[in-house]
Amino acid sequence: MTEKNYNDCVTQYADNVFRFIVKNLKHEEDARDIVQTAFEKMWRNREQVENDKAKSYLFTVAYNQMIDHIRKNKRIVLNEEFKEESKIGYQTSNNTKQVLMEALNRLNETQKSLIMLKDYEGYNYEEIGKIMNLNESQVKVYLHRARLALKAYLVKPENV
Amino acid sequence: MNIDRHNYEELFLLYIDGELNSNDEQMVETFLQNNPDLQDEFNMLLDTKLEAEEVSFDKSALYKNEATAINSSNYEEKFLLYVDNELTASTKANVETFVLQNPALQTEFTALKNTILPNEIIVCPNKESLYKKEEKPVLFMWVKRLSVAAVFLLFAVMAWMFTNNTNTTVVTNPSAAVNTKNNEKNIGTPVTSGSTQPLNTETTATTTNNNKMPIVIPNEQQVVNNQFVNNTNTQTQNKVVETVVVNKKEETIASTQQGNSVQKNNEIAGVINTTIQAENPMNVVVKNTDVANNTVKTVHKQAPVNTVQTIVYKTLEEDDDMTASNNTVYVGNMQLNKNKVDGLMKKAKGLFAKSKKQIEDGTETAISNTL
Repeated sequence: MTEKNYNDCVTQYADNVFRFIVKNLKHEEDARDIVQTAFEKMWRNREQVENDKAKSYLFTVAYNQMIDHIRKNKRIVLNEEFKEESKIGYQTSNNTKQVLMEALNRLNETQKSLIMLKDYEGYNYEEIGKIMNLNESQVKVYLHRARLALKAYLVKPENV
Repeated sequence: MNIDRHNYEELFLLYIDGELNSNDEQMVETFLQNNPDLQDEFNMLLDTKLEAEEVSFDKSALYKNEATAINSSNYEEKFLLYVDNELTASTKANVETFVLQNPALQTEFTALKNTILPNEIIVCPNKESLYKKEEKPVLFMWVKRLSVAAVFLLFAVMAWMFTNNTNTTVVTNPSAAVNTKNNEKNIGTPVTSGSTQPLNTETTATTTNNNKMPIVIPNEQQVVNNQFVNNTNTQTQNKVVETVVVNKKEETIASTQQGNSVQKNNEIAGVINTTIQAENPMNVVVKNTDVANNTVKTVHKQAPVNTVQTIVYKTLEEDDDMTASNNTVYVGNMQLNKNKVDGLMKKAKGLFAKSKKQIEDGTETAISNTL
């Protein structure tokens, strides 16, 4: 990968990787650090990374960094989630998109990542499996469970 | 392999596992007949062998076939694959048709379709900080700076030399061709130089040529000059650069001079290539060009330091001061004092070294200040 290829990857994929991470972490600065780390790692290993594999490489590195970050800060995140759940109970929203985002935030990081990689980036089951270190069957099963959970939240009477 | 009462346990087990060939099985059976007390032990081992059981299992749900029509038992999976965009166009159409045919399932199908995340554009902040630019080595930067400084110094030196050149006179055209029609002169003088000015002589009917043969000077401190010499009394002191001239149409006069001797020839005007070197000897390369009807070939040897050799013109004007002096440097049409030129070159070198030292000192000072 040349310097030009690397800079093209920054132009094409930085926004996508940032969207993926910030939607998971809901923290812009942490997401920015993870995106920076992912691109730094790809720059250091640019001799080994092929140009057409660059996007999946970036998502793989960013996803792994995100998981490490979540595990380190799990205690803090859990308390915040309880607060958010109490808020949701009193809020009513007719905005489908907002309700969908609320439903997405109720999923765990694996399910959230599966849904975003499928819908935002358009990866197939095999590609998602390589990024998240799952086999194809696991991806399919977990993804379908996530969809059914989202559907269940959307059809709740208070959310319709 | 023989069976006996010391190794029969292992062979019994191999027999029950079906791992013995027919000869060994026969051997075990013969041993059992000869040792009936071991038959009970053998029968107990036989009882441990499992029988294959008949099992029935519904495999229909396991079969994978996208062409399988959607029905009431598999519609949910089909719906999920549809939402994941994992179905072919034809299968998608089948699912949509099935939904239309089963209105009760439309709500569920629509709810699943609503779980698809809409495209959301989020811009990465400070994306500019992610771009990389490979750094060029520091040496390259220094070479660039030094070369720029050298060019500026050279221009300054040239300008100074030009403004202080008050005692020089315009030299006659070094690129004149010989006109052999003038029998009095009998001169054939090919000149290889870049100058195109006409020869300033009264008696010689020389024709100027437009030879613009370039002279390549590998060292900027070296000066190559072609000169017509009118003085017949000049002598060479050191090495000589020889010039060979061939005149195709008219008389060809070739003058070559080698070694340290002076050849005076009143009837031949030759072209002299003088090389003035500040320090090191040089090789001057002159390309062959066509000069009017003349082809000029120059053969150059390594020129020594401070050498001047002149060839005599019979009828040309003489300049005693310049021709008699060994300190003459010719740059184009300018006559310069060789000692002055040497001094200038040394000065330029000193300025050059000084600027370099200043840059290095400045770098060291910056480093020491940061520590």
